[in-house]
Amino acid sequence: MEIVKVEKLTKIYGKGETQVIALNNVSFSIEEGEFVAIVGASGSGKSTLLHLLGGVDIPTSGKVYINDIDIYKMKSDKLAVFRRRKIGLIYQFYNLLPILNVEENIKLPCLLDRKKVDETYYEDILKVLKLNDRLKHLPNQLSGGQQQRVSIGRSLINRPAIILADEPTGNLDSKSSEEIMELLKTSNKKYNQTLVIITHSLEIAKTANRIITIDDGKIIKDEKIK
Amino acid sequence: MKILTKLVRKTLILNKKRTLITLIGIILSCSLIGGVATLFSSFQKFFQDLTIETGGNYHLSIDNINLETINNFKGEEFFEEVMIQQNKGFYIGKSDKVDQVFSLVANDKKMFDNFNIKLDEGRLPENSQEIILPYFEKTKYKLKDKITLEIFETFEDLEKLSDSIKKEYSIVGFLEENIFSSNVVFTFLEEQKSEEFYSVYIITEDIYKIYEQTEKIYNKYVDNDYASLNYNSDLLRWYGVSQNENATEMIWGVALILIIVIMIASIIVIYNAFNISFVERKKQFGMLSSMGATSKQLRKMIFKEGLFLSIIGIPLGILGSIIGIGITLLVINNLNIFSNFIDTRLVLIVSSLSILITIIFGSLTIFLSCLVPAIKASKTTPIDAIRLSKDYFIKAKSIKTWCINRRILGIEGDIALKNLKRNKKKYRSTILSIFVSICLFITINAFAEYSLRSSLKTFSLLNYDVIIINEDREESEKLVKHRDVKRSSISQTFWVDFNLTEETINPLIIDMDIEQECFSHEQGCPSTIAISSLGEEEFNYYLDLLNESAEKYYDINNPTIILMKNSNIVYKQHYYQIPLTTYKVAETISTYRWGDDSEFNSNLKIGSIADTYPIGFSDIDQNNFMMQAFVSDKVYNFLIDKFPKEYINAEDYIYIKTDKVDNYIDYLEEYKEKNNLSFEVRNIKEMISMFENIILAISIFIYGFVVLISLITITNIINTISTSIYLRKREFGMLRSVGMTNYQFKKMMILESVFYGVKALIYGLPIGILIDYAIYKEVSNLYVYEYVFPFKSVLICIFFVFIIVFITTIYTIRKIKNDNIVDVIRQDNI
Repeated sequence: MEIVKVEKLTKIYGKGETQVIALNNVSFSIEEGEFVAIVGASGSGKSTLLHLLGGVDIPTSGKVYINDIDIYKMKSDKLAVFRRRKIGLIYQFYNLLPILNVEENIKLPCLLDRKKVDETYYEDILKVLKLNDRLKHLPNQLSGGQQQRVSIGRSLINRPAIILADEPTGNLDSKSSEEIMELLKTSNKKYNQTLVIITHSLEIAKTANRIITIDDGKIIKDEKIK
Repeated sequence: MKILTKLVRKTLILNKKRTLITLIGIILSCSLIGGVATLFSSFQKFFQDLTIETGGNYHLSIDNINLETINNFKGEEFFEEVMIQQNKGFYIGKSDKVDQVFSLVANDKKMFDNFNIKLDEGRLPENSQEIILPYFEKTKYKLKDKITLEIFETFEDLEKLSDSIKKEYSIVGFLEENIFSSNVVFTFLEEQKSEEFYSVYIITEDIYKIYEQTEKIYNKYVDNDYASLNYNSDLLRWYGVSQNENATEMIWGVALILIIVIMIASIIVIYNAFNISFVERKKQFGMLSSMGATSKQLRKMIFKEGLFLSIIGIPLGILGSIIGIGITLLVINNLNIFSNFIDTRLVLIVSSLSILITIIFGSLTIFLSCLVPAIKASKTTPIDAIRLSKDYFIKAKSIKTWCINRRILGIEGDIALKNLKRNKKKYRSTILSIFVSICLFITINAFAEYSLRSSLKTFSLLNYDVIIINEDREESEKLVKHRDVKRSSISQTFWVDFNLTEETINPLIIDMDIEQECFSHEQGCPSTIAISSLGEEEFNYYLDLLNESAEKYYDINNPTIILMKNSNIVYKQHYYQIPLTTYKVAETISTYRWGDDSEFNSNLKIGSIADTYPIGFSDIDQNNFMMQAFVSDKVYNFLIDKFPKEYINAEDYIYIKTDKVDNYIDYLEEYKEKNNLSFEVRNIKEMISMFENIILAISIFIYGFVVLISLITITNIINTISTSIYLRKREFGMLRSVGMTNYQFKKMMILESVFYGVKALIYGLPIGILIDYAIYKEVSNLYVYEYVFPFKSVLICIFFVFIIVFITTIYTIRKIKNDNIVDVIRQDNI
């Protein structure tokens, strides 16, 4: 089943002489349960693409469908609600709220929804994330790898349609990187979670089902890996 | 070093908004300091001028010296101006009522020039045959009249007169009527004779050297024993050179206190601005430090920032203070407070002293504000640059919140509260400055309420607009027959005594423990009743008002009074209005005259006990421990017939209520002039409005002060809130990226500002209320009976704190709402 469909997506920054075309008429789609890696040089447009997929940026033209919904047709508040229910975002610098503890950070999307957290699912995630003994800790009491695990937990808590990860291991040592990738793969398999990650590392990219290579705002290669 | 200066300048220019807010803080603070200094300079000048207007322009006077000494004085350079006056003696002004003693004084030209003698009509005397008289003599004489005076050399008693000479004068002018009028008439001092004695009034060249120079000159020339040297300390005290009490020290002491209050409020704000600016640039400082900038250089960067801002802020502040006080004085002068009595006006004085004070205290304020941030800056280590954020220091315990908060207010409320707790330090100075503002506002309101407005309330009890004091009853009756008079009473009063015994005194008063001894006397404690007549018309009107039938009040065989229910009792500096006695209707009070030799005694029957007053009377007219009663004119005349004549005050006090005060007063003046009468008219309405204007003027000053202090607070609030929001942009971006809606975001931010306003109020209000109560205790006097909780001030405080915090928050979130989430998230925190 097609979960993401991108149609002629274009994003232009600036005007006139300083104009930069970050994405140039990009189209593709992603199937449910797919694990896609987006690779490319710095400034190739991959982060822009990821942000447009996540509904946190606004395209200059083109459309993004998630679960057949044109997300940029929604009003900003509706989009925010859609984001917290259907999209999980993971950043390089974790972006946890320093004043909330691990548990609260993970449950944040549910709390914003005023929704009851599915406790068995939550326990399950905690087991996978190995964070059971850190629940009352604040982010500043955790290592980088642990913080990134918290942000993965946060992205999973609402069982989103898609998880978008922007260089999730970019800030981590190799051991932690391995752990995080392992986790992401586990969630991809265990929950059939659709996963899109941006990475610089070919090694990581090769663990995905599909690699999309972007250069100068265009897809120059889109290959499936067995 | 130059690169660092450049960096400072660049930082200031790049952070335009904050630089502007800091600058506004500095300008406001300097304006306030300068305003206080300018205002006090202006007031100092006002009192100097006023003293000159009322007491004459001179620094010292020397009495009883001869012509030779005067000429010697004139030769002294230090004595810039030597004015001569001679006391010519006294004469007795015959009148059909009371004979008055006038003193005749001869002035030379300089004396007339410097002693602001205002004429109602005519001109000043120009030779020794001419004379000017007080205004009230106009009823007897006209301009150009010749008058022969019998002048006595000295005067002690009408019975023992000294030798006299007779001299004819021609009247060339009449002195203006004013509050300083006295029985002095002036003539011109034409020639001085060497054998006579004079007084000289002297203006010196340098007031600050007055004592040493004058003593020197005085000792050089004056050798007689009668001569006496007097310094005009009334004037000198306003220059701060009086030998005893100096008014300048007192007023500048008050100014210093105000300036210190302003400085404290300003330092809180300006420190906060510098501190925020430093914290934001901590990474920059760390970077500079890692590149080898010494701690001295880093410290200097902050001081340089302060210096740049001072160079712009202080002159603008001084300018602001001059404009501000200029406008204020213009408004005050337009209120025409004393214009009926004095010519001196409050003028704007921009003295070098006040500018100097502003520069010194303004610089000190900025220096003190920079001090802590500068020290912090100098201690910045390279590691501060490397560390990404200060969140390392957050402790779980310090940001713990109650579950109930989340349950009621949702996650937004919880995050808001946690944020407030996290930023405790940052918000502390703002909360402190709101606290200072709240306390100041409530204090000043309490002061205004209890001491200013309570005196106004006193006046509002006066139920008449004009008083006329007149001696001729027939004339009195004519005066009130005018179409503009709505209601009037023609009243006379005499006082009789009665014995207050333990049986008749109000038990409440016994409890008060007042003059116990007095009551233990067998016959009781002598107390007084004022017995007033009201004129036929008002008395009957008053009876109607009280629903009393007239007959019994006209029976002279059985004199009946209307007794006022309450008396004024002042006990332990508190004021009570309660009945003095337990007398009831139909009882009689046996009265007599205590302490004089009259045989008067009379039993007065109480016809009724009233609590409304007739026109002309009110609670405030009543003396402590005295009762007031009213009788018909018939009874009044019957009673005073028993009095020895010399104890009777035959003047009518005519109280008039009118809607057209000015018209009526004009009519009275015209009538007086036309019929050559000399009754006295007092415009009560004008007096009240004068007091209202004085209170308005004082209010303008004190509320202006509070408003400006609050403005400083507002800049602080804006600075703190906007920076705190700006610094957390990334967190907000993240929250929005995980799906926080605009509504939720707004709710969170508003709740944060509510928490923070509540916190300031929790500290500020109780202390403000305590101060309010303390002021009530301190100044409550007449007509403030009971403590009223300052609801109004409290509500105003709450309203303004929330409004300001709200507006700032909403303004700031509106600014960042449109930021791109992606840009914000990727932004470096510092």
